[in-house]
Amino acid sequence: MAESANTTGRYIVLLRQGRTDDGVRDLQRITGASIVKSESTTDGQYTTLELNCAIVFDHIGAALIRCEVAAGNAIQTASQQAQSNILMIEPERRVHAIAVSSNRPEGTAQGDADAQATWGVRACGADHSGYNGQGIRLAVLDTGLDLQHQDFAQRQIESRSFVTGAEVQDENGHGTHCAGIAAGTLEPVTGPRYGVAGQAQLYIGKVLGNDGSGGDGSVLDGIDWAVGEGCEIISLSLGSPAKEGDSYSHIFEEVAKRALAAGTLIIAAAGNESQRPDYIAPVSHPANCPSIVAVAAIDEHMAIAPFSSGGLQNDGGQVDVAAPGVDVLSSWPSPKNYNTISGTSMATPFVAGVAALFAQSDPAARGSVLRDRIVQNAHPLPLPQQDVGRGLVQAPGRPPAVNGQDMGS
Amino acid sequence: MTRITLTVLVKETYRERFSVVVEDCRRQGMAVEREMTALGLFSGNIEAEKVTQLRAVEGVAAVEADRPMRNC
Repeated sequence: MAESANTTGRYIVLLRQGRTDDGVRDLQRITGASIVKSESTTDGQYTTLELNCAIVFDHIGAALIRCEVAAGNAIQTASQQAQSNILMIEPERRVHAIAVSSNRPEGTAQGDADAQATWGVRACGADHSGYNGQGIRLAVLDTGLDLQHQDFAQRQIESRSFVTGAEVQDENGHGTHCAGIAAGTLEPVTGPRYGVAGQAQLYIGKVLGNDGSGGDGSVLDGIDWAVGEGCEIISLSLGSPAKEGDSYSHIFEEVAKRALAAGTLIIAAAGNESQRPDYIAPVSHPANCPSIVAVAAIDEHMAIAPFSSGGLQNDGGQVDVAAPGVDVLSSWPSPKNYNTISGTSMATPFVAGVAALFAQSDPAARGSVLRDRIVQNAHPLPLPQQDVGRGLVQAPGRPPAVNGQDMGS
Repeated sequence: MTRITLTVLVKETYRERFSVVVEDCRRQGMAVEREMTALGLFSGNIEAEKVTQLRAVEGVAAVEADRPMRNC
């Protein structure tokens, strides 16, 4: 397979435990590959693996192979046979050290000091993605947006207020902050890049008043508008606390299903009611709906945020993925222009922005397919699934070049 | 009389008769404030003791009281 920003062009193959030798023989039979070395002893050996060569890891029963796509497909087919000695095959992912901060400048995350992009943008890989959300309609339903903000004033933005007597103009700040994370410009007037999908078409729905509060009705109205406008993604950094034992809203669940059927994915904040380690709150409404992607918050040390709600319920209420949600820098209404705040509200638009990148990367990635793409590409974390779901959301890598041109730009 | 703010979801099979369902709920005393046709639901308010009558209207899939929402 082609090498990309996120993959090496090689495959990892898992062999049936206790039958490694048989698995290796099957691998050779299927691909004609030579076994270069069956012991991982030489530094740098892996980086120079030739085509149709494999290294076997005897102790763990796996192999690393470089082969053509057709051979990879043949391995995949073999793994699906009953009692196969080959259990599964995956592209070898590139891994990076995720920046860990120590000293923390007042008011910002350490990882943001002197960086070209905030720690959150870097942690979800948006700075390395070849995609920018172009052509994708992303709705942020919140307290509105500072439409005159220096980073947004030149941008074409669709907006509407669903709060009686209130304009879209954000007098709270929360909505401007969330919109900035999801789709802030790749080149802010000042400071590091803080947005994920800088070229997405932004739809701003004011569904919360300037005091930050609202109700189901205005939120549903905003969702209805966004679906009617053909938005592929809706970001909801809002909610209502749930109690243990509460069932999810069947109306919101049905709405989310209808939205998925229309090609719209709804992403919502898991909630901030926990006080870890003493108390873990259940995921809030409406994120607790099974058809809505629920997002937990992690900090730049990849630890679960102390306020982040957890997937405690048996029926719905699961956390799907996690994203940066502590000390997140983003846009803020003028004159302050930028602010650093925390919450699952901040984590949610990271996922929404990454969703826009995936949607741009594949026209078929809509609705439930898009949801699956986000969840399956999350980076596993050494934390309970009830806290972080499948892990840290990750942006798609650079698209394959065609005729020497990067297709993502 | 206490009035409750709520949302009414129209059954999938009744979405083409959306306006009929809305009108039937109005006849039960509901003040309809928002009609969300893309998703097949509408919201408004009604006297608390009439909520049960709303659920019995043909074409109504679900009725839920409004929850307060906050940013998080």
